[in-house]
Amino acid sequence: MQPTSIQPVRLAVKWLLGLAVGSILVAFAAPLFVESNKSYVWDAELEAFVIREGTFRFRHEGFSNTYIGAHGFAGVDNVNSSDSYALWGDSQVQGLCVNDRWKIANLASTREVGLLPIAKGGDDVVDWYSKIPLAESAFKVKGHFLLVTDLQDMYPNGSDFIAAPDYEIRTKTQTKTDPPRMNSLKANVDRFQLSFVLLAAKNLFFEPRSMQRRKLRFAVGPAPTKQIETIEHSITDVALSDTWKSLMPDLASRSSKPIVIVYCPTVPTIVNNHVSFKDPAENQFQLLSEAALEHGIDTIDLTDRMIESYQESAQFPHGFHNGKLGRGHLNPVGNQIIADAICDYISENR
Amino acid sequence: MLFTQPEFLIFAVVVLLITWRLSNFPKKLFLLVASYYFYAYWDFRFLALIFVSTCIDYTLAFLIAKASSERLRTSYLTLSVVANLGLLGFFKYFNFFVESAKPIAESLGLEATTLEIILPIGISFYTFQTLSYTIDVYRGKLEARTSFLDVALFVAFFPQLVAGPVVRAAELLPQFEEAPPWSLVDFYFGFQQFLRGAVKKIVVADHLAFAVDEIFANEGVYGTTTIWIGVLAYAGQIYCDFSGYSDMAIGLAKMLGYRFCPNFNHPYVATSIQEFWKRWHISLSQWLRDYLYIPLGGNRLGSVRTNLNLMITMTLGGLWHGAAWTFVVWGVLHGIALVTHRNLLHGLLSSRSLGKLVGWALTFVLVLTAWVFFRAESFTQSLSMLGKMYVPTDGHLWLPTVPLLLLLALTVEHVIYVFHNRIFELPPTRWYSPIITALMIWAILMFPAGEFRPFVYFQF
Repeated sequence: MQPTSIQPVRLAVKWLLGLAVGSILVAFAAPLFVESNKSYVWDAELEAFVIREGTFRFRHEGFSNTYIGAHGFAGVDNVNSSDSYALWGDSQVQGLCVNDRWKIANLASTREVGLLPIAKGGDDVVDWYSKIPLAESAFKVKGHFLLVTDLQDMYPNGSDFIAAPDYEIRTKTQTKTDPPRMNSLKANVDRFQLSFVLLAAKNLFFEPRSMQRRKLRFAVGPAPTKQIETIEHSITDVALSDTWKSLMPDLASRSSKPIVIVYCPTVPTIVNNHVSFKDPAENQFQLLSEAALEHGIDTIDLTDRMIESYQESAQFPHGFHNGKLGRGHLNPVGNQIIADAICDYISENR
Repeated sequence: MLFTQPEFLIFAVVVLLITWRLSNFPKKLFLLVASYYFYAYWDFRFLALIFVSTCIDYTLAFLIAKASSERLRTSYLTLSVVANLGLLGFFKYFNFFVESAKPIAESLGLEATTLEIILPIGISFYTFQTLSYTIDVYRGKLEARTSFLDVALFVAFFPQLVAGPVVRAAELLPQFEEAPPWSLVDFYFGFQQFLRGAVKKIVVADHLAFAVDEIFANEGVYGTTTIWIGVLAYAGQIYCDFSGYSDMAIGLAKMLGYRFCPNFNHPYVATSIQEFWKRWHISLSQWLRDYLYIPLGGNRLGSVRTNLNLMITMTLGGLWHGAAWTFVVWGVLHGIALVTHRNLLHGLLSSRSLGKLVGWALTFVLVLTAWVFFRAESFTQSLSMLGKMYVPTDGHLWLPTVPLLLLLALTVEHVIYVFHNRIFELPPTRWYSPIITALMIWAILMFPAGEFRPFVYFQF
């Protein structure tokens, strides 16, 4: 290398340009690997924050693009509300990990059944309870299907809810939405194709799993061991039964239209080196079902349909190749089972 | 402290800044303090063990050098070997031997009780390093050091303290005396190697681990194709994890002005098992060769004895990795392969290109087969996986997307290496170097594994 004075400057410029080119390449390739940011807008009719309209990329489980329509409806473009049923749920109903054609609402539409997926990741019975009257007034739906994949969604807040059901906890805390400034930042980041920058910043400053701000430790070890949160086991079947016996009339009173609980547990699944067909919450669902029937709320148990489908096709209703088979969110097979079950129920009870 | 922790990055920057312009003595003193802090970050109580080990070998090396008779010299060396291997044996193998002897002890009416022992991190590595010091002094290849600081820093030097490479005294101690001048070129290439290691660990190894953990834990559910994916992913994971750590260690040392020998050289392109061991964990295989295989007689005592020496060396090499019979079997398999290659295949596979291709395929399949024992929790699991690998078996087909893409990328990287083996050094004047550097930095920032994963070799 000739020791000239210009060379370090040239090298520095070359490096700056090269780093910029590398970053531009990342920006172009990022949509293949990086998800959209969830930014929310206030929906006056549902009185809740919903995901902003537009296309949403989901990458870490399944590989899909979802059109988010009005009111945050995932995969639904035209809302023909007067001829539709509301499908309540959480991220399983939202179905961001499958493309629009495999979402429950769109699979049902092939059998000419209209479903409005009123769901957001993390929603539970408290959200459904508060929004059912709003949805009825806004969309004139013909009935309500509540998709329950985890019975904990029927007693949010665990033992606190069981001790004293509080349907206002969401409106009191408003924990599920980002502050407006962050929302608009996320929206702008997506608009300018800079999701990867926000992702990198998140990874740098937050713990990847908990999304808590990173806490650095410089003290010598041994590090204090973290207390592992124990799962609540103290909820007895009797307490659950009592809770649901009081919840069901409250829920039924929210609408004069039919309400149906669709139960879809994670079966079959892979547990301890074998395929398990056992739903650990089977008994609890029986309690829920009994309480629901007493108050005119029908239930559909999809456990057997899920198992039969697996036995026929050897395909799990849950999970993806880029996640884990038999675990995680519903895949197209699972969504098809649910859509068929809802359509069958409607045609049988027309 | 892990190289991939944010705390470590801050620690490394501070160390690099402070040592940048220091003269030799204060630099070494500061590096020793920093190295002890680095180790104490995990558990300060085990610093005492490193300090005791350092004192023993410093003193014994000195006594060996000053000993008036051969007998005395040998006694001091024996004491060093017994002390070092005694510590290693107690902390790493006590419970293993007790568990293994339990059936015999119980049949004799004796009680075999295990102890709650914490394995001091890095003990396998620094034990071998300190042994190299006393043995080399005994052999007259190295002078005993009068500077306790140099010996203490050699034992505890943080880049290689907890997971190697197994740096020998003859390699590092002279560098501590010379005080290498700071060089921007060394710093640049050290940084690139550190970055490359971080990519291997964070972006590749930790994401392959996702598939490995799932497939090894549920091998009964999956069919032949997925089992092969699991084993290939493990081969990629352990290579990228360990060579990633080595790259980070070597790069860091280079940034500080010190040189370590390479520890990996694309082992999966090896066309024989002998060549594999010249490319995989080079510092360990050379240590075993020089301090175990050759003292046993090496290849100087006839064919039968050579084969026996190979088997002993590889079996103990397997046991060095972990206190479990599966590691022993892994070592034995490699020993058998080396013996077979030496006696039957050497001439057949070394010359023609077809022979090389067959040699590569045989070597790769053998290495993969042996990895099953290395990774599995038990013999039952190993045999179940091997059964599915070699007898087509029905079961679920899981094609984990990201691990498959990473395996494809690793394959491409190996093919490129075969034709252009210097390309990945990224010389600063090449046009592609800043672009690839940017891609590597973004990849680390964008794709850290979702959960905390220490380096695989920390457990050894």
